[in-house]
Amino acid sequence: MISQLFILSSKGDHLVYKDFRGEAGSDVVNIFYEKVTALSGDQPPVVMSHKDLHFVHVRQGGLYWVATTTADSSPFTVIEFLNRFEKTFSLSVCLSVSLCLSLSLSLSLLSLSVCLSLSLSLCLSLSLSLSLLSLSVCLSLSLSLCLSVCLSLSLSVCLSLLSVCLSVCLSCLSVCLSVSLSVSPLCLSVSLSLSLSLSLSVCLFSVCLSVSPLSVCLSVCLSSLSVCLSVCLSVCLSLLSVCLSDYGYIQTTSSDVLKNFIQTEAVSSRPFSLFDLSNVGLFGAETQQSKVAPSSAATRPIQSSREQGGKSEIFVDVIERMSVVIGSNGVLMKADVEGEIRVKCYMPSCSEMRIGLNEEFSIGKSQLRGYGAAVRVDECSFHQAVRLDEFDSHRILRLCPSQGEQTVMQYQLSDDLPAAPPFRLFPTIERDSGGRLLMYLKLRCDLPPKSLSQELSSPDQSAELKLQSRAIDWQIPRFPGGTQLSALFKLEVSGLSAASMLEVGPVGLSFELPKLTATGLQIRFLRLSPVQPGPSQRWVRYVTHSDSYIIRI
Amino acid sequence: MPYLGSEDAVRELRRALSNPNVQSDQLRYRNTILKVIRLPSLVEYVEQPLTAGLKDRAACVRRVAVLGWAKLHNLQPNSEIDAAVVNELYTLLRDPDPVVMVNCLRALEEILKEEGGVAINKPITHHLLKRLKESDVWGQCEVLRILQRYRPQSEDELFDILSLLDASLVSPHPPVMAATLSLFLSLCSGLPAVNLAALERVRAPLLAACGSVSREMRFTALCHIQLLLRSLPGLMGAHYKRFFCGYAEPAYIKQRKMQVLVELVNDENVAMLLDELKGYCTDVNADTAQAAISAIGRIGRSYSDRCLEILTGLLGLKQEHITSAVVQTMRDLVWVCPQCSDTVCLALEGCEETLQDSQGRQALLWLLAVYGERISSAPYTLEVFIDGVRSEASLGVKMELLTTTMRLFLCRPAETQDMLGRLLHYCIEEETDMCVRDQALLYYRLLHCGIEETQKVLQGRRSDPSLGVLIGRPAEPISQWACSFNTLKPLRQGSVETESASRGSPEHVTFDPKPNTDLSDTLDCSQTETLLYKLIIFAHKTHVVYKIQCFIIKYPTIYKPTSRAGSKPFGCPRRD
Repeated sequence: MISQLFILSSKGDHLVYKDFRGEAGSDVVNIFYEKVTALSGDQPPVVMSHKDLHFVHVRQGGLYWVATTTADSSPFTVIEFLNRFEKTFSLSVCLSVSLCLSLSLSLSLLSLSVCLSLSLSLCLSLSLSLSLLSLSVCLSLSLSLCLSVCLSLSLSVCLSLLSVCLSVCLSCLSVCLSVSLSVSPLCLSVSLSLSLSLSLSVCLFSVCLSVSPLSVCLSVCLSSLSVCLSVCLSVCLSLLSVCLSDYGYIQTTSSDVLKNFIQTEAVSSRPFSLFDLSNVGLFGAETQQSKVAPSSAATRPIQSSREQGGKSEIFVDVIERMSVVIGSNGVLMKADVEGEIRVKCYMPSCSEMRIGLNEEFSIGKSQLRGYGAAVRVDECSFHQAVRLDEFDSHRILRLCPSQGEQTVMQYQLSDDLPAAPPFRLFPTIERDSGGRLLMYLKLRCDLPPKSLSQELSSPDQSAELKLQSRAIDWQIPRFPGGTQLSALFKLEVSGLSAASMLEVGPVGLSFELPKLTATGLQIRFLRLSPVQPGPSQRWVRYVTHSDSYIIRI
Repeated sequence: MPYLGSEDAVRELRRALSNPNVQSDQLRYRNTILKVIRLPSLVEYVEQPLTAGLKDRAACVRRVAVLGWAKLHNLQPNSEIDAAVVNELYTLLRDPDPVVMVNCLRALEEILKEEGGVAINKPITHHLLKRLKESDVWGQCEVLRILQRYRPQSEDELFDILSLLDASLVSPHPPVMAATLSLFLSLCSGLPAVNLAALERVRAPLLAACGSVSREMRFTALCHIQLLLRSLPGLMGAHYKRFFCGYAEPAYIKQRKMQVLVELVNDENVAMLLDELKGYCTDVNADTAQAAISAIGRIGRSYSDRCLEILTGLLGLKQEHITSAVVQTMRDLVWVCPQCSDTVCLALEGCEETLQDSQGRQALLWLLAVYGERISSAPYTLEVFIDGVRSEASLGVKMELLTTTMRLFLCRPAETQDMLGRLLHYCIEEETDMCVRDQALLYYRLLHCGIEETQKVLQGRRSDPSLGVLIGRPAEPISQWACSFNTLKPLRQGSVETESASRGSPEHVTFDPKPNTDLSDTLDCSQTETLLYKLIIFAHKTHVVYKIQCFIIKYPTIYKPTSRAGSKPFGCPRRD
């Protein structure tokens, strides 16, 4: 049971606040933020309490996703819900961003053609009307449920649009900056940074062009973009939070249900005029039917339109995360692999899917199959929809994937990697005569070489000293298998003594290895039945991430 | 809420509600119900649509209507419960839609809160269990939570239920796993063997949750593993490597992992574990480093030689926060394992220069007081402290300094007499803090009574008197923590309580009943002491603080806890 749910940016902006049960006031957001800022460091504990309020939060992407709840609710449930919510939300944001981009592009083309043919004064008024048009498109996109949110947004945004247009016409950098800042409380930090950087570039551009119709229409397009972003965000969020949990009880997070609430294409509706707001009921409930699309539009599946133009694709991803500790003497102290097979299905209809794993795949220590190099895992668990009747004999998983993303299988392997760890480090650390710390690091990649052209030292490496975390950040953009890189770092350390050499280390590596699994798990085949009509694409992808790869010095 | 104020809105809502077919448009029905529920004046209009909604064909409408009744009840908590509605909700438990079923449970829980929630009898239980698989993760958790109230009538029935639930116990979804284990623990509270088997079974999914992508989920799983370890210390022994800290993990996870690692230490893995912990001691985050050092100290109670070697090595780093943590850890270690004192005395030489914070200096002073005759440089160290007493800000350090000087005077009078005089003079004549001044006066008067008396009062114990042969912590019965499993409690009350509960050594007891009885026992055996004690008590009867101080002087065993009472577990120093 969740009584409130809110999203805070790390700077304390209230992005979204939703009260489900009306038990506590909205000042809980401030209470939470005070608690977070009162703590030193940037890692507040997951559960904090204030009187009989309990805050459970998840931190993702610089945002706090916070739920308030009672003391006896299950932390597993709340945290899992917040994680899922975060995932769904970012997915819907991605969708709406791409939608907005295409929208604003077409808008900008339109306004460009119009503007070029008109004089500047006319252009100004036109761009204003255009911005209103773009707003109305946004509004038609948004669902009637959130109309009041949109309206409150659009009024202020309309004002800011006006000033944006004016400011670009004057091509004044500072004014434009302040305007985009005034938009910022409405948008997420993402859109803030986006609009900031974009408006900056626009300003520069318009300075070059001086007062030109082009800059005006560009500004229109950009402002409509940021407006679209903020509107879509608020729409998606309030929709999601309503349908995910009703009266604080989690109702459903199934992607089949939720996808109906996330628009992936523009819904054309009659142009909406901002000036006859008087007869629009608040919150969209009693709006007159002629003005707004009926509320049942929200539950109408978008399926039909997607089937016509959409691709029918299926992705099977094998994702593994390694956590490795290598001792200072080069001995492998710990090696864990956690892996999962994830299916992303965009097929309109798919009755059954068969995934074949390696024949030699075995679970547990005693069971070994085949004569080749065994692919072994310690623990393995499957999604409840997976049928395992052919698993024992042929290592085939059968399932009927629903649209969206699901984790089919999870497995773990500890301590017994089939191959050597992918990276080794040979450090030499000493003190030179001038009291400087010399670190000579030689990093070797033990993966099999894939390409013939091996560059021994990549030219675009970079290194940076981070004083805050007292670490050197060495970035290597590309590292082919079977090669070796070396680096020499010289550090000026005040009061360097022989004992402080012990403080150097450990080295933590974070990397991504495409087309490789640490356990050796492979997908033999991927069959869909019945065979899909038309072109369907099946993708199998492998990737290994480093969860924590530590080499002690 | 902006939409509540407007008169138009209310009129429109009322019109919508009086429409007999309001539920035909699912989303509109939902919106209307959601809004009306916050508007007490419209409550009378909403009952009819809610009743109709319960019988609607669309599952979506039924879901909203069922919860709508719960909300309605919360709006009018004093109104009578409509028996017809409750009956209707009970019948809807057989609804084909699993979400409606679960919502019915939730609504009945709220409506019948006064009667102890929804009644769970045998047919309902079996029905719910049979349909458990149909609902999603959230529904399953809710059902499992509510089933905790059910008491099976026979042992056969109990085992039938358990075998039905066995698959959920190893579910890959942590919420379901936790809810099932919680149900197991409550169902089999009388069968400890079954409970232990369930804990064994749940090990794999819990470990998987510990390696989850989400940091918060990891933390939750760790906290619950700590609970399990209280009853089954050997549960994770073979998997200690899963609790090694990742490089980029936040400090709160690292500290929990170290707490778990300390529990898992045994003869085979001690070398690996210490090596790993040693790596954390130079962590950039000072709190993590201190937690690692005190974790080594904890392990040192069983494997003192190896740990002391590491701790002594750390002193060589001359880092302020590390030295402070090491000295505090050594103090705690010596208290429990007096055999370590030789090594500690050797290691202490020269570390006072790097010590800056008051906690660390207090620890050093305590060690000087107890082992003053073995540390050759003790008087010189003390002299530095006494010379700097004027600029000393911390009250704790000043009090500690007085006691230390007194005790050192008793064993090495020739070297200490002069500085003791200076210190007492300063404290009595110039010190503004009453606590310090009174303590100094007390010592001064005590010295007037003669050296014999002073010795009797001041010569305290050097180690924990209750310490016997080293044995592992006894396993707690599961019932002690079963009620807090799968709640926020293990996450919230963080380290403080688990720590004191898990240590359980008298060094941590505060002025609770136990030391009091202890005290009276000792008092009885020597008459003079009792007299002196009473005198002191009467002299300062008005002030609690002074009483405690007197306890302290007399019984240094108790003194330890007071100096530590406020400090964070795992030796993180209090920031004054």
